[in-house]
Amino acid sequence: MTVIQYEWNMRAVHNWITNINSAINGHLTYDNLKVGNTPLLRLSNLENGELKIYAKLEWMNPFGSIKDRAAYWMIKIAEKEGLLSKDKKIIEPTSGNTGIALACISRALGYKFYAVVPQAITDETKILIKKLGGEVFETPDDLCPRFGKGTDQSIALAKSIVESYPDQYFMPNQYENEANFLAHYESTGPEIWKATEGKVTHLISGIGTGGTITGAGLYLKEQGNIEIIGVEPQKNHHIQGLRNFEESGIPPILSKRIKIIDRWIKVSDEEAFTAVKLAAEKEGLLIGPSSGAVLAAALKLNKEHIKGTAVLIFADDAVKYLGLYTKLGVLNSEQLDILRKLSNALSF
Amino acid sequence: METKYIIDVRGLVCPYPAFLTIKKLNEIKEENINVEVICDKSEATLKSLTTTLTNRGYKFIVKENEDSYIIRIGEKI
Repeated sequence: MTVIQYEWNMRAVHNWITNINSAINGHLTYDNLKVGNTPLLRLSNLENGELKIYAKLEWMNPFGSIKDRAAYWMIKIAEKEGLLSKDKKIIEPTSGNTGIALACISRALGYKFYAVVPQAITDETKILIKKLGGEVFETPDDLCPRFGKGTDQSIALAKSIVESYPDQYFMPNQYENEANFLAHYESTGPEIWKATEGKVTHLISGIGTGGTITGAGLYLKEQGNIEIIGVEPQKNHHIQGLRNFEESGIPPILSKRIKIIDRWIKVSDEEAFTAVKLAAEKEGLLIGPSSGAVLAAALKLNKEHIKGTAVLIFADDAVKYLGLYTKLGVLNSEQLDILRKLSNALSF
Repeated sequence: METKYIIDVRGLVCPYPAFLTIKKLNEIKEENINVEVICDKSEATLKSLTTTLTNRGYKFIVKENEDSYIIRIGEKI
C-alpha cells in the first residue's frame, strides 16, 4: 500500500518557519533554541527480514538539518572560550546545511555571516542563507590547483580569507573543530541509545566532516558491540553533504577517529535517488539525497539477512532539493507538487 | 573610453587573490577590458591566478617586480 502522508515534512517546515522568523526577529536565544532530541521513526514498510530499520529524522532540528547540532555547539563553545566576540564576523566553508544553521544562529546572536560554498550547492540553500542576512561566496572548482574539487576549494578559500584578516573573522571550521565531534558524542549518540532502549546494533551514517559518525559512533561503541557503518558516494556524485574520499581529502576530525568505522558501504547516485523515491512511496517521507544514500546502504545490508536494529541518520529532508529532484526526475508529479508547496512555504 | 581597473591583492593569502580577481572580472561589463592585478611575489598565488585566468579564456602577461607580480589582463581569447 502506498502511504502518502508527508506529515514529518510538513511538521519540519512549520518548525523551520517558526524558528527562522524568531531568528530574524531576534527572539532566539541559546535558552529557547531546541537543538537535538529528534524523533526516531521505524521504517517498517522498508524492512524485509529480521533487521529493524529506524530513521533518525534530523530535519526536525530547528533549522532543518543535522548541522544545527554542530553549529550550535561550535558557536556556544567559541563564545564561552572567548574565541568569538561581537566585533568579529563568522565565516565558514559549507556545502549547505551548516551554512543555513550558522546563518540562523548568527542572525539570532547579531553576527555577520559569510558562507563559502561550492558552486554545486542548490539555489534554495543560497537563497535561504541570503534571506537570513548571510553573504554567499561561491567557490569555483578550479580556484586553486593545489586543492581538490568542491568543498576542498571552499575550505581553502575560507582559510585564506581568515589568514588575510585574522582580527576580523572567526571560522568555526567544522572539519577540524572538536565541538563538531562533541555535539554528536554528547547528544546524537545518547539520544539513539536511549530511544532504542539500548537495542541498536548498527549505526548507518553518511560522512561529510565525519562529526556525526565519529561522535555518535564512539558514544555507541562505548555502550556495547555496535557496528558503525559509513556511507560513501560514488566519484563525481550529486549527493550534497557527502564526500567520496578518492576525490576529496579526509577531514581532520574524521582521520583522528576513523577506526571507529567498522565498515564502508559504497552507494551510487542511482541507488541513492532510487531510495529517495522508495522512501516517498513506501513511508511517505520526502528525504534529501544524503538520506537516500544512507537508506540505500541499509537496503544493501538488509539483503545480508542479518538480525538487529539499525539506526539510519537522515541528515535532511527534500525541501531544499526541489530543483535537483525536478531536473533528475527523482519524484513523481504528485510528490513534486507536495515538495513545491513545502518549498514555497519557505519562500525559496 | 576604456577604463583601467587595478586589483591590488598584495598581503592576501592564496587563493583569496584569485577569488577576488575572478569576482571583479565577472562584474566588469565592458568587452575590451584593461585590468592590472598586483599580487605578492608568491608562486602559489601566481599559479592560482594564472590557472583560473587561463581556464576562463583570458589573455594576460605577467611582469615580475622586485617584491610583486603585475598581471595585465586583456580581452578573452
